[in-house]
Amino acid sequence: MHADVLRRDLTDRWRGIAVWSVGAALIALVYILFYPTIHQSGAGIQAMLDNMPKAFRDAFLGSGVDFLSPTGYLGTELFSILAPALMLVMGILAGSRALAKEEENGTIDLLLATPIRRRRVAAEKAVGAQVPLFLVAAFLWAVVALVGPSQGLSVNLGTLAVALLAVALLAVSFSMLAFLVAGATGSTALGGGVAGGLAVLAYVLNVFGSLVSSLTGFANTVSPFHWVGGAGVLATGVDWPGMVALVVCPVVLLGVAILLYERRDLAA
Amino acid sequence: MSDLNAIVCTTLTKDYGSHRALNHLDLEVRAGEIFGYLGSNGAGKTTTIRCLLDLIRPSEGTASVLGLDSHVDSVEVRRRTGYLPGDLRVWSRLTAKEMLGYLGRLRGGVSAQRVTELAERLDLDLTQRCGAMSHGQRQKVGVIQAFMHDPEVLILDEPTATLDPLMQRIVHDLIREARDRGATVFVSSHDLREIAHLCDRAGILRKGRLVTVLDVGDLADRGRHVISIQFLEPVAPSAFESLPGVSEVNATDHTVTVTVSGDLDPVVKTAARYRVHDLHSAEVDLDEVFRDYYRSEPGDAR
Repeated sequence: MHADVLRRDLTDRWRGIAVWSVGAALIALVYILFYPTIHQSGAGIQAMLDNMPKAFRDAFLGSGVDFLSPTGYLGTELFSILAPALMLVMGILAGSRALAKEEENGTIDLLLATPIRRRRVAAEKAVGAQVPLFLVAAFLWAVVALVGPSQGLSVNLGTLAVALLAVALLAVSFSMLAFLVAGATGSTALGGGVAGGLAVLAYVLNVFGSLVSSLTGFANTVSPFHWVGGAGVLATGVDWPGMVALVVCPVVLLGVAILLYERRDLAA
Repeated sequence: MSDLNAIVCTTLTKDYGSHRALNHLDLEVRAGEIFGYLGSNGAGKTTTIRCLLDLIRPSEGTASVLGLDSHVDSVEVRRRTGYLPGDLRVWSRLTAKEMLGYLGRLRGGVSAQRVTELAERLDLDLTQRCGAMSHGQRQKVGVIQAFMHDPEVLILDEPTATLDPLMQRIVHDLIREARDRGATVFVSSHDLREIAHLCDRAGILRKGRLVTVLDVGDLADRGRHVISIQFLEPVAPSAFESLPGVSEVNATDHTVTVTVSGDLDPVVKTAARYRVHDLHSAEVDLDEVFRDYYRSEPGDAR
């Protein structure tokens, strides 16, 4: 047995994974190619941004972000919405399906009729759900690294890598939550629903956290979106406590998921 | 472990909420026999089997296979067992060959030659995608994966339900061959005829309880006939009522219909005393016999 379940999983899903990775890279490419245009009409856009209420600007762009700078532009376009949204959707779908799909399809009986431990199936399935997220992050990094400089978008590639890693880990956290709920209930819909719902809630909390000062402390502690760093991430860098939280969170969720999955009656 | 028993269930109980699917089931399957597990749908056959494979956990009691606890030593149990699920589902995107290769690798490798041999006997094209297969073909893939590693114990949940008679025979042959090389076969069915034909012993399960375990020879002894005799003269039904084995006598005009268990000789001899015009004898459906076991369960309100 050499990670046969994981290999099977990735083999079966490679087309979907390729579409997501290439798709994400293409969208990023479009943003990159637009940068020169936006940069040239900089004064107009800056004026428009200045006219927005400051709270809004802070909430959606991050405070003190210079939108027209390479780090500000990439941070706003790539890190505030696009990359997290893509990876979250991808991660939550993959996480909710990883274990529960075999159960819903009824194939789990055959799989677990072989001498493989349930926890091993769960662990390999969990890894299988997460690998593509890092692949997407790598694709995004490669596009920015390869095409960015020719369009005047030069950023520190180390910081970019860490920032993308943080976004991937954010998606991993919610993916593992979907994995946990779906694995514990046998329902992909429930896993996806709970994780998706909480992701939206955490995002909204993060936005309100920057709008309402009395919420800021709570929101920054609780919402994983804050841990990632938001639009200013390429200028300020990822803060390490956040990064640690983003690693610990999925590990804990995986542990709980395996415990719950091991104890369960699997649906016939 | 007793050397004689390959599967043992001790007060095995499974509750689903307020529904008791298995009720203090005690069951012993001897090593080297084909044991039929009979019951109607919902009697608890699949629940028992899924407990043996640790897919579900008993609410009470224990199950063991080859002396190994079905939960604690589940991996070892599954290594030495072949299992065919009752409601077989396959990975529809894989070909039979890919699927069997996958399951074989999870078993640490199985003989490709054995897989080919089984596929040939079952007349299955291994290059076909499982999703494009008929129910019967998929069932063949299921049969192959259960037999391909020549396990010591075979647990088969309604193995032939979706197979045509020809294939049923081949699967029965495979089951007998497995028994002949020393394996224990635990096969569930709701078809008494199949069990009577195939098994050494059979247990009858009803509402989560084991009603009885019997040698299959006994089942055949219980075979009943309905004999309908048309006479050329009026015959009083009372002539047949007291005969041994006769349970029911109906008479209309010149025709007497008798239900007999076991020996038919007394009925025929009695009929011979009169002028017989015509005589029909039909074996009562084995299912009737089966239903008898169900009816005779004490404490049943229905």
